[in-house]
Amino acid sequence: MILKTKTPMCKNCMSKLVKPSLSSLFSNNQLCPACINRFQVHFYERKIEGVSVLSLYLYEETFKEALYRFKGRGDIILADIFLNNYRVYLKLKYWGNCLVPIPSSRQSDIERGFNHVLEVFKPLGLEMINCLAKKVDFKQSDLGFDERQEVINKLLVIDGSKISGRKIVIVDDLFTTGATVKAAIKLLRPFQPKSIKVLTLAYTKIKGNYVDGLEVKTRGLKR
Amino acid sequence: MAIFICPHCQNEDERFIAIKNGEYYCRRCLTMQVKEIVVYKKYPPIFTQPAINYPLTKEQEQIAKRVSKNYLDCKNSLIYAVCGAGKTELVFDVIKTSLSRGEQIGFTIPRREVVIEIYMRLKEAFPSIEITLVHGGNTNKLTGQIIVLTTHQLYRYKKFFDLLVFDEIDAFPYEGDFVLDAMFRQSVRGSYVIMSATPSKKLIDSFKDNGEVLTLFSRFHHHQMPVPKIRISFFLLEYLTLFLELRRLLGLGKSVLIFAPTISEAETLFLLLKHLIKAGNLVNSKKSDSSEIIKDFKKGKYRYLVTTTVLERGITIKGLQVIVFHADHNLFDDSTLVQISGRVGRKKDEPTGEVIFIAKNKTKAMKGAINDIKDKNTYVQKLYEQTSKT
Repeated sequence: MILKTKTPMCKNCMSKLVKPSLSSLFSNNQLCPACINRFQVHFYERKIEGVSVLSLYLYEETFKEALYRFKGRGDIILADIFLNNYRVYLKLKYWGNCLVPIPSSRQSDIERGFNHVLEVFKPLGLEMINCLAKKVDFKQSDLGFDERQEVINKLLVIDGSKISGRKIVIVDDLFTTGATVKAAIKLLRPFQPKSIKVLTLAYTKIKGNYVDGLEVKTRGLKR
Repeated sequence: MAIFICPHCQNEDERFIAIKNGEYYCRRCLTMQVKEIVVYKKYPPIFTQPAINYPLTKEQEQIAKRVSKNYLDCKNSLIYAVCGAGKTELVFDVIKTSLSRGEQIGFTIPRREVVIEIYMRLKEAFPSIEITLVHGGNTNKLTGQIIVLTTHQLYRYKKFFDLLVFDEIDAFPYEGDFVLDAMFRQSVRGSYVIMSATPSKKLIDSFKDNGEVLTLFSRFHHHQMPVPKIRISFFLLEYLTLFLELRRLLGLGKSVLIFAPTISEAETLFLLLKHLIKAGNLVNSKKSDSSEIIKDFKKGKYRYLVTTTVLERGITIKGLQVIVFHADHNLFDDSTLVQISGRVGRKKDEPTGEVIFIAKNKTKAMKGAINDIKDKNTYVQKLYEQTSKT
């Protein structure tokens, strides 16, 4: 899964990377400054079902295109661009936690050649516990709002005892209605993990600035 | 010896090649790898005359017939025609020829705004033919005897078009794009006709071996192309010059298009102007209501528009005058300035107008554009002097 490079290139827009400046030594040099600026990094945090949910990016044009290339077209090279800048921060924040990925559509995984959720969160180096699975293979993204709320009936827990007494972080690529996240929390709580948190790469803004009736409070970590 | 040649776009550049699960894949054309190609089919021969608003000039007729002949000889054509020469009508004859052979036709242009206009023109000219419009926001129907599409959509069609007309090949985003070029070449089954007012030398040279370059430097109404005038001003005086010229032109009862190099400069300009001179507006590629504003401008609701190069091509408005602000900016290369100047004097009943470049100094691009226009005018002038003697 390596990219052959003679000259360094931006992984997102594939333009040549200019000589790095002093500031870029401390930052991600896999993306060009233009691409870094285009992503909207919000670090949006809110509480769902009493659980803290953190979303790093706003799901807008730049993120959408990158995610489409990565998830929809199987561009494995983009796997580490999403968390690269924030690896240290996230490793500290979720120290001692293990990750529980939201299961992705098996059919898509085969077509794509990899599981995108696994590939994105692997660089955090935290233990992954795959105790959530889909009863029937489906794509949440194909469904409308009401149909999405049914997701709790489509998920099940396998070997839930693995998370008992553990600090867990449920991870997924996108938070849209939150139905999947809520379902996962409800299904995993009975197994009594020590704590539950949620981390998604991005969130979608619906109804203006409000998601779930709560005002969007974003931290100024945008580059 | 290349490690991997992409089967879709023929890319060999290793910077764009990656490995997934032990297999190579190409990152360059990844988003253009079509899942379902559109299947080619033949149509019954149709004999029809294109409906046109004005009869073609002698020069236009010559070129149109020549293009048809090349097509029948399986030769490609490059039509090098100035802005306002009436390019679209030039290919009606070859389309007519192709229809009589029951063939699959395509008309492509890089810009989405203009592709809709072309679709309307073709529907008017060939009302009985199945014509389909395909662009980013309109991909439900992909088949038709004449397909009018943005060049981005060409990837859906492989060895498909018996005749492909490619207009404004030098426009962004096609220009210089490796993958789009590969998709263009792969989509053609027969021959193509390329049209441009500012073709690169490389393009012209590529036709020397296989194909023909046809030139049309006279505008269809036979008037000269307006030669831009330069107004040099320093620092803040640029704004004063703009204000005075704008007021003067509006005083003559004309509509004015003001070009700025970047979106932010356009916004600043408009902010300053809107309080001083009413009945103006702003368009750019980021504004969603731009097409509405342009429609209103054509109707006469606004007297001037501040815009970026998004309007450098394709737009035709009667009595339009053009001011290029900050014309010495490096985003204004000579082709862009020629295209912008070509917005003036396009209508038969108002064939003249003014083009003003406001800048701090004369750039090579500005001088190049002016010389290019002057040269073509002189060439046409000589041509008429010759023909009027005989």
